[in-house]
Amino acid sequence: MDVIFSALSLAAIYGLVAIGVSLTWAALGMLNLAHGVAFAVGAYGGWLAADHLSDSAPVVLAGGVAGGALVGCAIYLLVVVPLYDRPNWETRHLIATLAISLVGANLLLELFGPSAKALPAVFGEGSVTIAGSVVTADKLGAIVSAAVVLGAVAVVLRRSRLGLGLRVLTQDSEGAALVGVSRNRMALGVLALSGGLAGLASVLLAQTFYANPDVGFVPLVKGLLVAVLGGLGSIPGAIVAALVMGVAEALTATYLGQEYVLMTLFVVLAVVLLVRPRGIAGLLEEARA
Amino acid sequence: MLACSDLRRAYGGFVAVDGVTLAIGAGEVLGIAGPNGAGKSTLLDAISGHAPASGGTVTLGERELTGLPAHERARLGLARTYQSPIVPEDLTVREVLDAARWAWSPTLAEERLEEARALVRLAAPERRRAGLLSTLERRKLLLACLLMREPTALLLDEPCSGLVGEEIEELTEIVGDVRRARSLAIGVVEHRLEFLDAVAQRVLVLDRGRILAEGPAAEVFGLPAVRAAYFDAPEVVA
Amino acid sequence: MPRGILPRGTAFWSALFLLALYLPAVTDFGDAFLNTCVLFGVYAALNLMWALVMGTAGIYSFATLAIAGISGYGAGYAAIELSLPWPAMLAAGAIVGVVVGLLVALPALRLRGVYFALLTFGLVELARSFVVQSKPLGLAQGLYGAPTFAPESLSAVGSGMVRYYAALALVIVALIVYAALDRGRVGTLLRTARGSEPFARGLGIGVVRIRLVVIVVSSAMIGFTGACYLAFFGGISPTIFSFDTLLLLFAMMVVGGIGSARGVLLGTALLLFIDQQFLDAGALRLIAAGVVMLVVTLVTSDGLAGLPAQLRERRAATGSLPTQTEMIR
Repeated sequence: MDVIFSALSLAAIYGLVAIGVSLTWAALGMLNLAHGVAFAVGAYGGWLAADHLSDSAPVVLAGGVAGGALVGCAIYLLVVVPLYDRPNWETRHLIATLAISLVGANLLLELFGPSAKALPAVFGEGSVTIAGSVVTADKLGAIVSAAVVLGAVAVVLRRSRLGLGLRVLTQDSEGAALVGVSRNRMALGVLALSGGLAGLASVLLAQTFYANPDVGFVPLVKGLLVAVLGGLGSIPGAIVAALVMGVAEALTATYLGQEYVLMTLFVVLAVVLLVRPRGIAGLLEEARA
Repeated sequence: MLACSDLRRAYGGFVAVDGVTLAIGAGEVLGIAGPNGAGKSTLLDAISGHAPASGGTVTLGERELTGLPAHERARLGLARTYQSPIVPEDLTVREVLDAARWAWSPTLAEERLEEARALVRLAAPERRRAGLLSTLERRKLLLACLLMREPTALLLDEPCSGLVGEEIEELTEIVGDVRRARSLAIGVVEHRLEFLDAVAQRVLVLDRGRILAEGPAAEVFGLPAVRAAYFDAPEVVA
Repeated sequence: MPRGILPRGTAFWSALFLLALYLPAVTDFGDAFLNTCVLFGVYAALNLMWALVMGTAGIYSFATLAIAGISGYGAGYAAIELSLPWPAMLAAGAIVGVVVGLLVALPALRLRGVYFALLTFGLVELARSFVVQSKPLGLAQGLYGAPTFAPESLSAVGSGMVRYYAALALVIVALIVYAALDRGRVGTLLRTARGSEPFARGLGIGVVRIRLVVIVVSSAMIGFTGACYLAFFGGISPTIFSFDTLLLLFAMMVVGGIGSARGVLLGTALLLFIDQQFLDAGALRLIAAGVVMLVVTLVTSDGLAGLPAQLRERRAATGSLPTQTEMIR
């Protein structure tokens, strides 16, 4: 039972990070390697908000989301505006986002120092007993709020202009230009949204990780793994993949040890990709057909 | 002679090519027409091996090609072009031609390259990047690359798309030259019926993956069934 | 342009070679500078092979350091256990490189770009977590006591010279391998397949086979270089599998320009210089590397070495001015 709850809370966080990766890929053909910076700045945003404004949950969460969204906008200005549709976009965006991730993590180190900052427990210190196992309010809160936000994002993407434009873009980019969907304007929305989700995830996870300059690295790697496992560009795929990876990680950490987690995740990915080169999205499509 | 028998290609629940049997003799040009979505390009993909067929056989001369990967079929003498000119854009004209010359061993002598270049009237400067060439020049470059290896069959997928009046006339002459010089089996998928009329001895009309009619161009295009397929076909959304 | 009997670039490469040859005679060699030169040799060799795989062949592999590290550890372990001399260790490195390269090639031929890139990142992490937990491989401290190029009887100055010229030889070997696979038949076919795979297959190019060739040959050279690292420094540590090292080498390769040997050498020299200059500056060092990387990427499309060609093309595209003056003449 404990394993199930840690799997779910991991899946919730990974889902929030991976959807940003997947959406950015769908909208721009861009693998955002600076996504970890959004996560890290989100954590510091939450910390700053708690320190200077108030440590009430909405303020801290808003601080995290704002920090992440800000990084999303910065990536838009530094990478998408100057490079999109230029020669070698495929390699240059990778290099540029890697550079931002390098600079971002080290700027945080310069500004705030190497020591970790503790964020207030957004959901209080309490705990509940469900089906005989003790779950901290923090974990439960993270699971519930991530599920709500993910659900909301999925609904918004289905209903809103942004979502419609995105679906048009992924289907047929020439057609999108014809019906007046501007990739450039969508890109800002997608990057800000992705960054905001990563920032949210980092505040939700802050009781486990704390805010430190390198805090974005592991979520970035795991977010990428989940997004790729799900099949880049597929939101249902990413959610299923987040659950799969959450379970794999929780099981590995419990029965083998934390140091084997990343290895296990890579093995899961390798096996799935070798069987289905397009990831879980490929499996979902086949199941539908 | 290039032939296929009862060729089928289905993906998902959709049957794009539904049992096509055809033969193109050496020195013959066969036109393949049909409304949008009739399965013309898919038929070429299945013959050339770029997409696997779900059933049926393909033979080139005495040799059975069924099941071989695309590059093996190319080596055995089956050449094909694409709707969009697909020459690599970063390479110079010279490098693209060299790639064809060196594609597999034995590599070819310089004369073969010159011969193919002259045959398709390719005049583009050697050091220009292929991405900067006009559509017709790129198409000629692709043709030169393919003809260098002296294939016995050549499939052209919408050779006129993106070309204008004079260019189409030049292409018509080139196809005629190639047929006379090499006496190979040529299959042409094309929308423009007047082009097919000019180059093809025989025309085949495809509709919903099946052969609807076959015969001399003037005769086939007059048939009521063909006219119905062309003009009453529901708009296919790309 | 004057075209003699010599191939283009002969003057450049001869000048560079002579400079490298006589550098020890004209500069005062400190230990630090010598180490930087040796490190340059190792990094340049690795980056040249990486550029071959990623640039020429267009395969998004991040496995370079994984292959180098695994080969280095494997060859070093064998050499220490069996007391092999250094030439045998180098051969062992190349062999391990080929084996790992083949393992990497397996998914490379099946998976699309980014998917493969991520799997190769995984290989690096896999190697790191294995090595850090393996007692025979020295845990986090690394593996030491491997045979080195310079015999112990040699003086400090003498052994410095041996290491310097060995590094120079390593770079030259890597350049020869690079030239053999980037130019001529194999290179043209690889770049054709990178540019358009359907076109390449339509010409009858065995795309899978030539990609296999480039992965195996470059992996052999990468493994050899990994073993050379031990022969230079006597040991190897898990740092070779760290994300920072991977990023540094990647930055070197792309800043200079992934499309040419000149670019790779230039980028390696430039970033190694920055890296060594700011060695004590902590975070600033990586910020500087990141900023250089970002600025170069935003300004140039093919790295610094591709800048002249880029400017030429832009001039040709924006104005017909040069052609007009040519016509008047």
